[in-house]
Amino acid sequence: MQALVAKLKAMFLARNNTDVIANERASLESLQRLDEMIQEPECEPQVGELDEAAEQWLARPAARGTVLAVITPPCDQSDSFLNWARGSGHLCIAPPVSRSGPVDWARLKTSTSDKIVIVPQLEQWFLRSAEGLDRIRKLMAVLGSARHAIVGCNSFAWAYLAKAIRIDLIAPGPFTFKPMDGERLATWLAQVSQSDPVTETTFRLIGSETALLRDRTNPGVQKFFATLAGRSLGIPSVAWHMWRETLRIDGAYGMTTGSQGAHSQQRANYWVASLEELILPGTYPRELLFALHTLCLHGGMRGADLADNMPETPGAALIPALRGSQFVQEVEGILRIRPEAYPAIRNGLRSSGFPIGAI
Amino acid sequence: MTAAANTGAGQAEAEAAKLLRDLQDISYLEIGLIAALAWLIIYASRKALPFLAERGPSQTRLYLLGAVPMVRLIAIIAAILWILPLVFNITMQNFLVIAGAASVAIGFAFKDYVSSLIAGVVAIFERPYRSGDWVKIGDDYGEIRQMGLRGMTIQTPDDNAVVVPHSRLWTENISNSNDGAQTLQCVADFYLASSHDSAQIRDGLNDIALTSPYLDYSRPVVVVLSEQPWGTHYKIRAYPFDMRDQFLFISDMTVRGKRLLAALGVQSAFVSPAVERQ
Repeated sequence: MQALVAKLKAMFLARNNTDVIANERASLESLQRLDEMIQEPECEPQVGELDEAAEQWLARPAARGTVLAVITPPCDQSDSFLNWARGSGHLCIAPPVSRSGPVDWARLKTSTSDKIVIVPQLEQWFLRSAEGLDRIRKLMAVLGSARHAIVGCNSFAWAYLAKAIRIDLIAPGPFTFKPMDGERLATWLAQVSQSDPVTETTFRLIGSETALLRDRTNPGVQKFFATLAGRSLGIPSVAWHMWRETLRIDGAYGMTTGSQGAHSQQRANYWVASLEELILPGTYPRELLFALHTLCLHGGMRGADLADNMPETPGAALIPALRGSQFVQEVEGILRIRPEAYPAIRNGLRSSGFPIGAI
Repeated sequence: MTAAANTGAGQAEAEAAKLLRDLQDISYLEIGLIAALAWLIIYASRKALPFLAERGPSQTRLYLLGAVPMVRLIAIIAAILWILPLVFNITMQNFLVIAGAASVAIGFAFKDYVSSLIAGVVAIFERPYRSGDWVKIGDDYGEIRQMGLRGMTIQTPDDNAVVVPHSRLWTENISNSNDGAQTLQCVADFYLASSHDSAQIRDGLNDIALTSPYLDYSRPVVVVLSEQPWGTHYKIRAYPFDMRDQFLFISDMTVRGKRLLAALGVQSAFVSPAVERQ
């Protein structure tokens, strides 16, 4: 009840400059240290799902000449689908580097027809522009001409392309990953956090001695992961970043060295804070909402490209405002939605009436 | 016994015939409190519901705005029904007296006012328009910002507030652009000289609408053209996802459409004011 009241208060009454999420973060130094120790992992269960779906689709007699669409998880910084496409040995078509940048049509047309073509990041084809739409129409015409093709795009891009070029008719029945429930999420996080054989990592809820990833029958632990799954919409990369945001380090990065029998082993102790829910206030400036929607649609953009995609000529304050917000991050010049902010942004955009990705 | 009964009946008859209660019997404090309570409810709903409508989810905006006149009507009726027995001695006979007097007063002095009030009540229940709708009444086009019982306030795109009595409902056609929906159709016009490739222009203008950030994906985009003596008239018909963006949406399509036409080297048609008026 308290959570509901807090959510409604934040939605209706929060000011634009209110820090909606409690800022209990550790110092910058320790956060960087955390990032060094914990890199976002690929989600192996999803890669397995993808393998299975691709095999089933290829086994269908009528698969040739059709396109399999894969709705890729948003904000996946581990690029699971891209890595899967590259690792599979198929012909992988990269997105153009700019709005009018070239596409390797020759490679696509001259490759042997038995080769599977994969277009892993269709959302990055500058789709909400006349040039982008032209190119995607041409691409879909080539892909649909008697060969196997798999295209990947996020749900926002799918919803847009279903309107703009009727991609839902070209590639009906897109494949979507199963959302992860609390139990599956706990199993996956346990796997990825114990991948280092030298370090024994323990995660404990603040104020409790319960070891989160070991004692998974504990009702408190189950509730924690059920909440994490709900708030992350069951998207592994989002859940992983939300999980990462809850981690706190005790003492000197929580790293202690101990010995267990004959083997010397490092022990890392992390404290897990309660999950904070990020909320996009109802009063959030409209031009920033358009920018967030554009970033969701394109998966990430350079500042200049984002400005070109805005409905009106944006003021000079737009990009700095985005950089300074808790919703966007800039990596190598590309502005992207912060994974842990994705559910809040999606809900906020939906509340404001923006078209969102719904399959 | 009979005399006493007759006296009692006479008193009762006299009481019933008395329209107003004795002034010293009327609880002015109670009446004041009821009126203040009604005013407070109306004032709170007028402030709080539009405030929440502007800040909350856009899907709930029209419902919240539409609730304001309903709350006002209920509060006023409840207050009147509560106060009347405190002031008047309500019997069938008195009711007929009051109704007769009121009819005369209304017939002579407040005909238009009451006509607007009745139209206001009809508007609340039949909902030909409601708060948040974009309507055209006479020459005035704008968003209904406030629905009173007697009239409504329309805010025009030029930021003028126009007060329109509900009685216009009896005599005029009222054009409602969205009729309670979250969106409305927007039209961007282009007037071109005849010598061009119509299919190319139509497809290009279609993409102009499809690439607008304001576009509502769930509604159709249509480009229609008609041949005129002065050239070709193109119209992009599309819907923004939020009707408050209608003018920005039209401007966005117009700016980018003109850029496209310039890039294709298509000339605009010259339409003289006289032809345009026809």
